[in-house]
Amino acid sequence: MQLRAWHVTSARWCRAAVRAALLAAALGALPPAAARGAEEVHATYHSFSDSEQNHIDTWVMEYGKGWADAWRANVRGALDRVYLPPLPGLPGSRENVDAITAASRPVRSAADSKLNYLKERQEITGSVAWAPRGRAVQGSGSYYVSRESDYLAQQAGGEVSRNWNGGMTGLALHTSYGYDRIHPDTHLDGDPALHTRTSLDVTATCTQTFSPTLQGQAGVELTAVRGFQSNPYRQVYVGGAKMPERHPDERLRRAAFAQVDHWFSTRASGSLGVRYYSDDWGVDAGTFDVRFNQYVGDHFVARYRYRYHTQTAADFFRDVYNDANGAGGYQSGDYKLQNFDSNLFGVKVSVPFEGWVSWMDGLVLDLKYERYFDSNSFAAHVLEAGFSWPF
Amino acid sequence: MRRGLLILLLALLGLESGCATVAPYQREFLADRIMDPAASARERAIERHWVDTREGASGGALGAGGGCACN
Repeated sequence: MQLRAWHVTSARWCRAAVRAALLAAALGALPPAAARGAEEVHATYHSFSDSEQNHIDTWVMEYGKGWADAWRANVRGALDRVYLPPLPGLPGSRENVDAITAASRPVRSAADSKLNYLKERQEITGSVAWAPRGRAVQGSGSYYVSRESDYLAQQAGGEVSRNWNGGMTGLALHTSYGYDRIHPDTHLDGDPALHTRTSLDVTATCTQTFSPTLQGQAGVELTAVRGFQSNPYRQVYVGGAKMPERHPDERLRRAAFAQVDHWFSTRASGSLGVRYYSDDWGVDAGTFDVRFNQYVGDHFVARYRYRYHTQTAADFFRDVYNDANGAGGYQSGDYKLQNFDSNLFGVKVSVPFEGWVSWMDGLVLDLKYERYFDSNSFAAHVLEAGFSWPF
Repeated sequence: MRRGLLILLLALLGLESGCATVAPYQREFLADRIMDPAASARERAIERHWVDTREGASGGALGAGGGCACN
């Protein structure tokens, strides 16, 4: 009961914090500032609709303010609303029972499985950056909290960076520590126990200017995750019997990435990014991302994008678990741990309002559409609209 | 993994040794908003969140978040 009360209190606090961030951003936009660019507001609406009729709306609002030519503070609030459709099959039918077993969301009863499921997530991030003009060393720190009815995530992070060679070469070291509390909602055959998970991440990124039209960056990332890493609602048939999903409690994730950006004389730019990933669960992955930006007229920008991702399955992932011991004591129904390929095509346009109305100078509107599909017959539409306004 | 990292570092060193000095006044194009990798940081943060729910190969940090419903 105390835990529930604590969760309710923290939910109220989280909602209040998000509202405060949105209010601060809205108020910050009202008065005209003397030095343009000292303050900035960003707002984004993001919509994700997939072929399984799931839908996620996300609203993000961010306000940033700089001072003393060196410091900058940002506050970012985000709200997710997740809509999941009723599960298939008549209550009590084999199809419905199997759907409840495989569901990654709470289902209190067979009748409950036939209702829409709505969930909210609130997130707030605060950060402070120190970047004095003319100094080669910069630093920043951040704190993040995300709250759902059954999940609380917190993360503290810091970054130090330094430039050499007249600013042509840079190295940034970033680290973060995350602490998550997972307290499942009521669920058929579910385990109501409180679980925790921690993650420690270290990322090193090197940036390099190669010529007046070519720059690149490369880096490595190492993340150690400890604690509960299964879905508390999902069950798996193991040797014919329903068992809770069970993943290892430890995971070491490693990634290396590189990106080059090139300017073309046609007032365009191209970006090519690659990423290699592997972990000790046996997942190996490669991702390729190419983007092309083109100015149309003086300010309007159109962007075209293609992304390809391929990955192998985790060592313990099986389509069917015949052995009562699963695979080495583990069993998973997580589609993310399967072998698959995915493709993403997208287009984005950015429209700056320069010279239209003086008080709107600097305002940039963005509109993006992307289509994602994978080799497991999953597909999604991604739509994003937003604006950035320095003032 | 180690071999991949080594190739990446060697490639970077090779490129670095071949690049010319670029004075600040020559960085007009590099500073353009369509050349700045940091300009898309906000967009990437949102994308990382939904990609985390579909693919099992993300870094796992830089904004963990996300609970059970959309995972």
